[in-house]
Amino acid sequence: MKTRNNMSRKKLLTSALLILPAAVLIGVYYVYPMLMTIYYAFTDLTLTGSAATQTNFVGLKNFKSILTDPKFPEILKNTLVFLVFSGIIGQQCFGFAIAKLMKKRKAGIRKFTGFMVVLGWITPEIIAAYMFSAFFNDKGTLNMFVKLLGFKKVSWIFEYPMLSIVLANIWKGSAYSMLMFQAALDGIPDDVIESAKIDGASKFNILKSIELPMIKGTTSTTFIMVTLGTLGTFGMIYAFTGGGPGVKTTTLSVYMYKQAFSAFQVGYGMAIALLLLAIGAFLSFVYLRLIKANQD
Amino acid sequence: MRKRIVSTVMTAAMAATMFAQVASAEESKVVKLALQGDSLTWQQEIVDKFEAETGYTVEPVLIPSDQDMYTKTMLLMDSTDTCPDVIAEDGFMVKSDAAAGKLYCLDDALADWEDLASFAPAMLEGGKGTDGKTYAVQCSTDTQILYYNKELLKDIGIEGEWQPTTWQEILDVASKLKEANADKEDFIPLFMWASSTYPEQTSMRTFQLFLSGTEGEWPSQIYDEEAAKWVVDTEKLKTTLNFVNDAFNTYEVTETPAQAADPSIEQLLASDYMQNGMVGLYISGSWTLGQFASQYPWDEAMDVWGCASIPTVDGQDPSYTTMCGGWTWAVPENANNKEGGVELLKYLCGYDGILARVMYCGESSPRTDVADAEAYLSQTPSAIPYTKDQLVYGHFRPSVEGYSSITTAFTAAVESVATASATPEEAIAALQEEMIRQLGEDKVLVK
Repeated sequence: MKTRNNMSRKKLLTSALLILPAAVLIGVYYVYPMLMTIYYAFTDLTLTGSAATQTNFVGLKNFKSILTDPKFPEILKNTLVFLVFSGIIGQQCFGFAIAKLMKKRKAGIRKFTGFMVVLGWITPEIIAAYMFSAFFNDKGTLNMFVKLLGFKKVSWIFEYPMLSIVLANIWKGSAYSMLMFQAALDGIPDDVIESAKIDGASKFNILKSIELPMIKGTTSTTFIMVTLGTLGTFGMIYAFTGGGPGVKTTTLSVYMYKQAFSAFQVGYGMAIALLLLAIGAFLSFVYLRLIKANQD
Repeated sequence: MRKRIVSTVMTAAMAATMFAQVASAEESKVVKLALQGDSLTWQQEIVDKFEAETGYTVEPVLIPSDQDMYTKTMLLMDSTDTCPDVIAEDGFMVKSDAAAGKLYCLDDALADWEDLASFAPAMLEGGKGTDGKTYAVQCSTDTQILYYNKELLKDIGIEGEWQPTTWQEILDVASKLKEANADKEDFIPLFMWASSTYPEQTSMRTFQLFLSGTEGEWPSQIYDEEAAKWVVDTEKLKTTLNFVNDAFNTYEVTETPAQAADPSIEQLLASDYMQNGMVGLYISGSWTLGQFASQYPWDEAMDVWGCASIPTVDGQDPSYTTMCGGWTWAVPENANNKEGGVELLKYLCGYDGILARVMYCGESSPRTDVADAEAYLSQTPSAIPYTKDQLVYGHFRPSVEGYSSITTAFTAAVESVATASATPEEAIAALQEEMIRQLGEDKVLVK
C-alpha cells in the first residue's frame, strides 16, 4: 500500500515537473499579461502625462465611457459585419467551396489550387494589406481594368471600404478553412456517397444530408477558430485602411490600438480589449453549446 | 579543498567585477541617439564631429515609421534596457512626457551652457514642462504657409503676388483652378491635411490653423488659460469645419480622400505634384520649399511657387494667422548615459548642429545667431525670408498637459467631415463627447 502511495506521489511529482516549464511559460506570457490587462482596464493609465505615473483606479468608468461613446455603435457594427462577412461566411464558404470542388480532382490540380490558396495564408498580413492597397487604389490594378472596359475609375477604398477589407481578409484567411474542410471531406468513406448515389440522391441532397452532417465537428472547430482569428484581425486593416475613412473600417481591435497607442489612453484601450475578449468568449460559448445540442 | 574553492570563487568574482567595469566603461562611451527614419542624414556631420572631439560613439536607434514614432519613442523610454540617451521629441509632446516623468530635467546640466543665450526666449519656453523646468531644447520651428503655383494662377488671370484676404477667396481661386485643369487626372486644386494617416499635420495645419483664424485671441478658441479648461466653442468650430466641408464636399476642390490618406502623399507632393503642375494651392509648413534645395533638387521652385499667409475667416484683425510647430532634442530620465546624452544634445543644438538641420530641412531656426547667418538667409529655394514677416501672426499649440491625447480628436473631427462621414455638427458633437471622455466634464467648457 505504502509502495503504491510512494509510486503515485513520484508519478505526480514527475508530471508536475514535466508540466512546470509549460505552466511557467503560460503564466508569464499569457496569464500575467491577461491579468494586467484586466487590472489596467479599470484604471486611467496613460502612456504620457501625469496619469502615466499616478495611475488611479477608476472602476467601471472606462466601460461606461465605451458604451456611451457615439462612435461605439458603428465600430461594433463594423466588427460584426467584418466578422460575419469576411470570417464566418466568406472564409468558411469560400474555403468549403474550394475544398469541395477539389475533391476527386487530379493530384496536380489539387496541389496547384491548394498552393495558390495557401499562398494567401502564408503571406504576412502587412504584405497582404499593401497588395490589396495596390489592387484597390485609385491608380491600382482594379481601376486599370475598369478603365480598359471603358468605365470611370472608382475610389474603391473610400466608396466601398468595408467591402475592400472583407475581400482582402477572405483572400488571406480562406486557406485555413479549406485545409480543414478538405481533410474532413476526404475522411468521408466513398461507399457512403456511392450508396446515396445508387439510391438516387441528388448532389445537393448528398451535400445537405450526408457530407455536411458528417463534417459537423470540423465545421464547429473551424467556426470557433475563424471567429476568434477574425475578431483579432488588426495588422491588415490598420495597414490597409487605418480604420478609415472616418471610422468606416474601424473594428474593435483597431479602435483599441488607436486609443491605447495613438491617443495614449492605455486604460481605455485595455477596457476595449477586455470587451473584445468577452465577445470572443461569448461566441465560443454559443458555438460550443450548439455543438453539444447537436450531439445530443 | 576549501581553500581551493574560496580562491576559485574569489578569482571568478574579481574577473566578473573587472569585466563589468570594462563593459560599464565601454557603455558610458556609447550614446544612443533615437531619431526618425533617414533623419540622420543631415546630422551625420555633427555626429562625426561629436565622436571625434569627445571620444564618444554614437549608436543610432532609427525609428522607421513616421506615424507611430511618438508611441515607439515612449515605449523605448519605459525601460532602462531599451532607453536611448537622446531622443527627437516633437514640441507638443514635451509637456506630457515631462509630466509623465519620462524626460530628464536639463536645468543643472545646461546651467553653464552659454549657447542658451542664443535661443529666442519663446523657443526656450517650448522645451519647458508645466513645472517651468527645461526638459528639451528646441532645434527647429516652422510656420504654416499657403503656397500657390504662380503659373497655374496666371492661367486663371491672377498675375504676380497673390494674397487671399478671406477663406472664401481661397475656395474661389481653388474652384477656378479646378475648372481650368479639369483635363488633368488627379489634379489637386487645393491640398490641405485631412487624414488620420497624418494625425498631427491634420490637427495643427488644418484644424488649429483655421480655428485660430476665427474671432478671438488664440488659444481662447480651444483652451481657456484662465479657467485652465479646454473649450468646445460650437460656433467657431462650426466655422472651421464648415470650411473643411465646403472645400472637400461642396466645392470639391481638394485632394480626394484616397490621396489625403496616401502614406506617400507628402513625398509625392514634393517630388512630383509640385514640380509638375499637379497641385495649385498647398497649405504646409515653411520648410516646404527648402526641400527643393537638397532633398528634391529643383532650381525653378521659387519661380513656380509663391507664398501667401492664411487669412482670418473674413479678413478680420489681425488679417492673418499661422501656427508654429517644431522639434526638440531631449534626454530621457531612463537614459543609461545621461552625461553623454547631454553632451550630444549640446552639439545637436549648437550653432553648427542647428544650421545643418534647418538648412537641410528648410525649417526656421530657433537660434537667433543662426537666423542671422548669411548661409541661412541666402539659401534658395526657401520660404525663410517670407517666414520672418509671418511670425507676428504666429500661434503655438496649447502647451498644456493633455494636448498629446486630445489632438487625435481634432484630427478625427477633420477627417470625418472631409470624408463626409459626418456633418460639421455631428463632428462637433463627437469631438465634445471625446474631450469630455478623455479629460472629464470638469475640464471642458462648452460654449
